[in-house]
Parts: sequence; structure tokens; C-alpha cells
Amino acid sequence: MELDKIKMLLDKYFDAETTLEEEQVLQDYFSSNEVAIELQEYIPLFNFRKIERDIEFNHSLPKRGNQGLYKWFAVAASIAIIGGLFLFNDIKNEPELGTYEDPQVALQKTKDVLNMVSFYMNQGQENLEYVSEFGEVTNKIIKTP
Amino acid sequence: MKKSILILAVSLMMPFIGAAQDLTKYENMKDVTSMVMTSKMFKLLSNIDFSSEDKEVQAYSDLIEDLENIMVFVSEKPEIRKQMAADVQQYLKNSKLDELMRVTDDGKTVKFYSKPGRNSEYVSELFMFLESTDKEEPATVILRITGDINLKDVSKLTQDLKVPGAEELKNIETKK
Repeated sequence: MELDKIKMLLDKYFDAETTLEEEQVLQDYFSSNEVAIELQEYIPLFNFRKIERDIEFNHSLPKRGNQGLYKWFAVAASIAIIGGLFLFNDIKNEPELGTYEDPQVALQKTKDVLNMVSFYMNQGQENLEYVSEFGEVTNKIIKTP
Repeated sequence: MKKSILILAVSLMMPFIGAAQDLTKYENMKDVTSMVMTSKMFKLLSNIDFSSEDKEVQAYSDLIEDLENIMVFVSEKPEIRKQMAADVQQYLKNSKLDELMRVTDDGKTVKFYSKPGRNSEYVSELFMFLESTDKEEPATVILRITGDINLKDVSKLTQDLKVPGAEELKNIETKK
């Protein structure tokens, strides 16, 4: 009776023709304690299916530990990049020509500067007379923009 | 941990922050007379027709041609002068300039610093720091010239002048 039915379902099962309900019947039968001796060899098969289906993941997912650290690396890198941009902007932001737009004025001022440098340089090498007079004049030259 | 990384990042950037501050901050400062000339201006100047028969003019044009940048900052305010002295100290330390010479005369101290250029006659940077403790006109002058500078040529500019150089000096004054 029931045994015949189970055997028939088993045959169907191995032919892969069972429905889900019929498989459930087989499952129930093999997990009960009344399995006929001749069918006991199939117990592991159905138990295995049951065990596999019941597996659950109980552990907590591991956290990505280094994320916090990397975040700060990113912060540091962006600060460095922004700082770098400022640094180079500084150089580029220089006025195109400088204080003077008029080349003639600039030329004169450049000469004055070179004169002053030259003067003090020579002063270091030899003792000139009238040094203070020249110094005052140079001071005036350099003061007026 | 996070804090230490932030501190590390900031401290790594400190030299850059310092360098960025540099001396250019004086350019737009109140009570500072500043003068800046860039390589573009010098390019422009080198295109000007120097009436080249004049030896003296030729000497200037040769020098100017190879200049990159001139910066001059002058101040008479005691606070700013103090700050300038400190900043110059820092600048000299950072940019590793060699002391060229020191001149003390009549209440003025002039110090020259330079950075080696392509050979022993040339310097790539000439830095002058002048402090005048004159009672009537105390002043501090920072002067920085970069480029390809021949020190001999610079010193020649006023060498021939000697005394009496009065006429030469008058010329400079009237031209301004």
C-alpha cells in the first residue's frame, strides 16, 4: 500500500518526473522513523537534501576594517592637492608684467635697482668716498614707486 | 589613529605652506613700497631699441636680457621691518642661499646672498637685505633678483663711476 506508493514515487523521482508535492511526500516519508528496511539506503539522499536546504547563514558579515583608514588617506590627499593648486596658483597669479606697465619706466627702475645692487657690492669691495651721499640718493630712488 | 594621520598630512604640508607665504606677501601690504618685475617685462625691455652705441646702455641691456624676476620691498614701519627681518631669516634658511658679502657703513647693514648659477661667474639668484638704522630714515629693503646674473657685470655698472659720480647721479634723478 503505502510502501508501493512510495516505491512508485521513487521510480518517478529517479526519472525526474515527480511534482513538488510528490517530492514532499517522499521527503516526509524518509524523514519519518518508519522507513521500510529495503528503502533505508535512500535515507541519506533525502536527509542530505533536507540538511542542505536548512542551512542558514548565522554569522554576522565581517566589516571592512580598513575603510576608515582609507577615508582619511583620501582626505589627506585632497588637502594636499588643494594646497598644491594654491601653491602653483600663487606663482601663476603674479601680475603679467609686474608693478610697471610702461616698459620705459620699468627699464629705468630696473637700472636703478641694478645700480643700487652694484653700488653696495662695490662698496663692500673698496672704500669709496661720498658713500653716504650716493646712498641717500639711492634710497630716494628706491622709495618712490 | 585618524587624528594622527591628519596631523601627519598637515605637517607634511607645512614646508609648502611656508614656501607659499614666501616674501611675496609684502607686495600688497600696507606701508610697504613694493616693486615687482617679471620675465615678461624683461622680454619686452629687450625688444626696446637700446641706442646701442652707448657702452653703458649696452651693459644694462645685456644684464637685463637674462633676468627673470626682480622684487623689491621697502618699509619704514618698525613692526613690518621686524617681520621682514624674521621672514628673511626664514627665507634664507629655506632656500639655502650662500652669503656673498656683508657691508656695514654709516648705520646701514647690507647683506648679499646668492645661489650658484651655471658657472662660477654667474648666480641664479641674488638676494640683498638692507637694514638702515639711521635715526631720520630707518628702513628695511628686501631685494631679490633671479635669472642668469653675471656678478662681475653687475659690479661693473657702478665701478667706472667712482668719484666724482655726481653727474651720473643727477641723471638718474632727473630720469625718474
